[in-house]
Amino acid sequence: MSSHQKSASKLLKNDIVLLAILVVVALILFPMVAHSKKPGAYALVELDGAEYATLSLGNDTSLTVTTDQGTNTIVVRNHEVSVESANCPDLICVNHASISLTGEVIVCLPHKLVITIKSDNPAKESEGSIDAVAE
Amino acid sequence: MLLQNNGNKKTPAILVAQSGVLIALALVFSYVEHIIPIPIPVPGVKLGLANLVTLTGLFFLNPLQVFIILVSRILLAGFMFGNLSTIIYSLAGGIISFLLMYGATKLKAFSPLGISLLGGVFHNLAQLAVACLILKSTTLLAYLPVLMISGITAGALIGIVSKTVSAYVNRRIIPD
Repeated sequence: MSSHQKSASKLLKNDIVLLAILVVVALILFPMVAHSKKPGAYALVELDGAEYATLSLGNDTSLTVTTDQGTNTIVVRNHEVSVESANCPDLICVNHASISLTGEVIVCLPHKLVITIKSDNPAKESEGSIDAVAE
Repeated sequence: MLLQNNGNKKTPAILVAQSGVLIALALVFSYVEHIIPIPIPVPGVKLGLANLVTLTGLFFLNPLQVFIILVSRILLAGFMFGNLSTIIYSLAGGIISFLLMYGATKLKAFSPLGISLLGGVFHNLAQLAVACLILKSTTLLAYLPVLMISGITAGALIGIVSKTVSAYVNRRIIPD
C-alpha cells in the first residue's frame, strides 16, 4: 500500500477521470434508451425468449404464468400492467411499479419472464419490428 | 495475524482458515444485503457489500485465493438465498469484475476507489449481457444507463469503505 500513499494525489486524479468518463457514458446512454414513450396497446409476455401471451391493456385481466421455474401472476388493471405475486427469490418483478407506456418492461430474471408494453402499430417501433410483423 | 502479505510463507492450514473466515464474512454481507433489499425495482441494482471482501482481499492476498473466496461465496450464497439463475448472474458479474479489478491493481494507476468503480460498473454490465443472452432479448438494454449509474454509486461507496479498511489493516495487522 505504500505505493498508493506515495502518489495518492495522482491516483486520485486518475480515479476522478475514470469516474467522469463512466458518468458521461451513462448520461449519453440515457436519452438513447428513453425513446418517445406513449400509452401502449398491449403487453407482450415472453418466457425464455419466446412469446407466451399478449394481454390487451383495455381489458382488466390476470394471467398466472407457471413454469418449472415457478409462477408469476400478471395483472392488467386500468390500462396498467403489474406483477401481483410471484415465487421468485428476489421479488423484483412484484416490487416493480405498474407499467403502461411503450417500451416499459418488467422482468423476472429468475423465471426468465419479460413483460413489455407494445403499441398497436408495430412498424413504428424501432426494435422488435420484425418479430411483431411475423405475428 | 489474519492478513499477512508474505503469501509464500503461508501454510495450507493458514490459507484454509483465512479463506474460511473471509468466505464467512462475505456470506454475512450477502445475507445482510438479501434481507435488506434496496427499494429500486431494477434487476441488478445493489450495493455489492460482499465485493468489499474481494476488493480489499486483492490488496493483501494472493489473487487465486481471492478468486476462490469469491466463487465459494457466490455458490454458497446462491444456494442459500437464490437459485441457479441468480448464481449464473452473480458468477458472470463476479468473475468479470474480479478480472478487471485484479488487472487494475496490477496497473497501479488507480486508488481502491477507482478500482472499485471499474468493478462495480463492469459487474453490472456483465450481468446485463448475460441477462440479454439468457432471455434472448435486447429489451433489457433499456436498463443499461441505470445499471451504470448504480454500478458507479455502489463502486464508489464500496471503494471508500475498502480504502478505509485497507489503511486500518495495513497499519494494525501488518507491522513493517
